[in-house]
Amino acid sequence: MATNSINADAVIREIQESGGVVVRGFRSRDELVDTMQAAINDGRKCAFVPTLKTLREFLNTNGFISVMSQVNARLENHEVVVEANSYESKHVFAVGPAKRAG
Amino acid sequence: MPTQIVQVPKYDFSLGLFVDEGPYWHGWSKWLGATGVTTLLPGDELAVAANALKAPRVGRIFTGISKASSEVVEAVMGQAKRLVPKALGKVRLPRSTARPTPVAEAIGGAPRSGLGRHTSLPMDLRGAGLVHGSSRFSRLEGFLSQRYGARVVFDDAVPFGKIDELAGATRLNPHTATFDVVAHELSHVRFSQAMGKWGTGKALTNFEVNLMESIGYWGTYRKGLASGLSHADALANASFGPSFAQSAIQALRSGSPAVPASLQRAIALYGRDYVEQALRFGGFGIRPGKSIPRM
Repeated sequence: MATNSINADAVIREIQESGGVVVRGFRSRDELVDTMQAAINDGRKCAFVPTLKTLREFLNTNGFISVMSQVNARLENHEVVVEANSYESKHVFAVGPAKRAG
Repeated sequence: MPTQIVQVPKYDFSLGLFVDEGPYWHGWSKWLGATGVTTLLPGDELAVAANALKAPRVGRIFTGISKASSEVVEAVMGQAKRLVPKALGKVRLPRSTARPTPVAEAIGGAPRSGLGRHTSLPMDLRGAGLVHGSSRFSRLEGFLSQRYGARVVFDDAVPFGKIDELAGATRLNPHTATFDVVAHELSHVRFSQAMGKWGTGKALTNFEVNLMESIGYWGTYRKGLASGLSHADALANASFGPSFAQSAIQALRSGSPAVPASLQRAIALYGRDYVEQALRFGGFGIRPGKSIPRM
C-alpha cells in the first residue's frame, strides 16, 4: 500500500501535463473501467479523482479502496501509478500502461 | 447499534486471511482479533462467530473499558449466542415482553434493556451482505413501503447503497450492502422525505445533499461508537462526513435563498442541536470556535 504522504495535486498535475486523463465521476463501474482501459491502450496515464458527490457512493475510504481494487482487477496491460487511497484531502487511484521489460 | 457482529468479512480458509475488506471490516476484525481467535474452521461465516464465542479470552478482553462499552459488548456477545444456534435451527428464541417500537416491530425485534433501539436492529451472521428473502429483511421492506413509500431495489451496479430520491427507491448492492449501509441509506430516505423531495421527481439541491450526507455520516459515526468501535475506527467508517459538513456550511454562508428553508426543514426533523452536531462533526467539520449561522 502506498503511503498517504504523496502530494495528490502534484501527481494529478503531472498526469495532466503528460497528456493523461483525469476522471472525476462515472455513471457506472463499467464506464470507469472502459475509460481507464482506453487511456492505458492509448499509452496514457489515467487518474480517478472523484468529486465529493461521486465519492459518497463509496461510503468511506475503505469502500473506495475496495471498489478500486475490483476496478484494478478488470484492467489489463497496466501498472498502478498511485494506489487507491486518501491522500491529504483527495482520494486518488491512478494507473498507466505497463512498462515493457528491456 | 452493535452492528459489527453483522459485518463478518469473507475468510479464505486456504489463505488464512480475510479477503473481503469491505468498508466496515476492520471493526469486526479488531474485535475478533481481540478474542484471541487465530484458527477458523472451514464453513460459512458462522464458524467465525462460533469460534469467537468459544474463545477463552472473550470474558476478559473487555475488562477495563467503560461500563457503557462493556454493556454493548455483552449485548453483542448475547446476540451472537442467540443468533448462532438460531441460524443453525437448534433453538427457539424467547420473545421479549418489552413493547416494540414501530421500527423494531417492523424488523421483528424488541428493544432490550440498556441499549434501547440499538439492539433492535436486524443482525444476521450468515454473511457479509444482506440475506435475500429473509423474513427480517422482508419486514423491513414492508415497513419502508408503508412508512415512506420507499422501494428497495437490489442493484449490482451500485458500489454499496444509494438512494434515488426521484424514483423513491433505495438501491442496494446485494453483495456488499450490510445493515450498516441500509441504516445510512434510510437516514437519507427520512431526510429526502422531510425536504419534500422523496418520490416526487424533484432532485435534492447541492446543499441538501451535503447536509443529508453530514447527518447520515454523523449517524454512522455515532452508531460506530455505540457499537464499541474506537473513535478512530468510527471516524474511518464515516470518513467522508466532515467534508460534506464543510461543503454544507459553505453553502450556508453563501446567502442562497433556498438554503435557509432546507435547513429549517432539517431542523424540524432532527432538532437544531443534532443538525449542529452533524455540521461540527466532533470538530472535524466546522472548526471549533467557528459559529454556525443562525437562521
